[in-house]
Amino acid sequence: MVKAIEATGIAVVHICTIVPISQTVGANRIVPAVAIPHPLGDPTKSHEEEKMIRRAILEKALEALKTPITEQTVFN
Amino acid sequence: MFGVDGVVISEEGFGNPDADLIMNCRRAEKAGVKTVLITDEYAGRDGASQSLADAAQEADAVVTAGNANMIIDLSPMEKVIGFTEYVNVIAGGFDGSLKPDGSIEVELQAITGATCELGFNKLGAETW
Amino acid sequence: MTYRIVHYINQFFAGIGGEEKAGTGPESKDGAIGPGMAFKAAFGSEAEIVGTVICGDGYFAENMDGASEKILKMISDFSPDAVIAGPAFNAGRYGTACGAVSEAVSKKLGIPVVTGMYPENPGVDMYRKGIYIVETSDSARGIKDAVPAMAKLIMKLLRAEPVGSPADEGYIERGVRVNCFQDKIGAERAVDMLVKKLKGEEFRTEYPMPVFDRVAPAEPIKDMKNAVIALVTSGGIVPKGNPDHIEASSATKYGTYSIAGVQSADEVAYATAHGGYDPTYANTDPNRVLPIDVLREMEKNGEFKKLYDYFFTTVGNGTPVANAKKFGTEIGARLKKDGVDAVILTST
Repeated sequence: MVKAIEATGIAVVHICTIVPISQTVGANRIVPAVAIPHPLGDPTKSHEEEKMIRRAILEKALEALKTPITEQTVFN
Repeated sequence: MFGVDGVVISEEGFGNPDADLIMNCRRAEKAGVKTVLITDEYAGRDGASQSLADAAQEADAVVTAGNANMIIDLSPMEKVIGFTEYVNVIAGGFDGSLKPDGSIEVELQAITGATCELGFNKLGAETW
Repeated sequence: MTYRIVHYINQFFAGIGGEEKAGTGPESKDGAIGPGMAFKAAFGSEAEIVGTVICGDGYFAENMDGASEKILKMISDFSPDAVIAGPAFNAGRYGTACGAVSEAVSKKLGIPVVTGMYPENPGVDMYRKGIYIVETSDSARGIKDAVPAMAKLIMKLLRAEPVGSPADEGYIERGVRVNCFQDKIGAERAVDMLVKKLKGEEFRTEYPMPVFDRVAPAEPIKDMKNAVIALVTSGGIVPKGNPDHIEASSATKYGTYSIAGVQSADEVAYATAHGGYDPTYANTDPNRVLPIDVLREMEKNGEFKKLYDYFFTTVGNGTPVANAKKFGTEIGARLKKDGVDAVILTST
């Protein structure tokens, strides 16, 4: 889906846990997530801490969308 | 210019010649001349690498003379004409190609003409 | 001699549990377990499954390097002659694990290894070149065909017999070139091919050109403060009740839902329809998969201009690639029309 949307010219950032799959399939902007059942959260933390984790990932995602790239890039 | 409908395009070598091969193919097809290419492949010893240095969708009709990187085993000969010590350094050879018993383990390309790009041989290749 | 074989399987096939046990770390057991029993029967007296190594799909996916190392050690402790992994059918994480373990066994232990997957399993594209992946159906119902095919191939490898074509041996094309003699010389084949092409008749190229299914990176956003961002997810978050009945697996559709005025993907109004991961955390707080709450805060903060009024969702669990491509193309077209500048796509 990431590639099909990007093919229309819109920048896409893929927030996902299994980065190797995203790379093989060909997403260009990748941001690693926390875990499969909760990519933007952590149930072992408090709600406030979770929101901070979520925000950090989303900030990285925006950063990825602003960054010019020539090849697949993982934004750690 | 020559009023030609179709062309068989070959090459000698690999690398830059591959680029020429593909370029010629693209231009011919664009000009409305149908092409068939004859080429060999350098797909690595495991056959897993890209066979040609360039590629094009227009090159839809290709005859292959085989993967020149394939490793072959040549049994020791009773009589040798020439010098075996160069086997380790010629193209297709490597350190250890010449075995103590006189046999030779080498890439197919060491045999000149084995993958002749004029389509001289029956050798071909498949994707497995 | 009776060959010693180690079998690698996941937590589900080991009978440990389903998705809720996907976080199980690597374990080692003697003898055959679960589908290993079917292999045991297929091998007869020629080979025996001396041990089974098990790992949760979630654990492996989230700790690929560490898990591989542990698993490799457990496998080699059995001193096996060969390894079989899976089959994983269409399970993405399981296929990735089987592929990774198989590749590690091949590279680091240097013994024969065979696994089995459905051609669309992501593990296939990732690992096909280095290992033999027997083609299976997309669900465990195909086990009765997968087992004999995998057993036959591993026995061939153990006996160092030459392995034939994918069609003959039942494995997925690895993308490696193999030399073989044809009936005619190349020049004749070329002329035959050209004549066919000129006549407009069907012909078969001997070397299909490689296809690079890559998309050029789209231009980055230059003015983030004025950008409209859209949210898409494959994590299956839907309005509670799943009004459009998006399938838990093999989704045939995606949903488009308004979030105008919605400040958070709360658990009252939203839930996940995805059948491929433990839904507990996503259902307790759907923002963990569809981060509307924090995106709204960032929007209010002026970090970008607007969160697009709709989000798009589907279930990325065994979704046929063709479907996913169709969804993406349609979603992309709509977003382009509506002036969306960028997309954040979350996956589980």
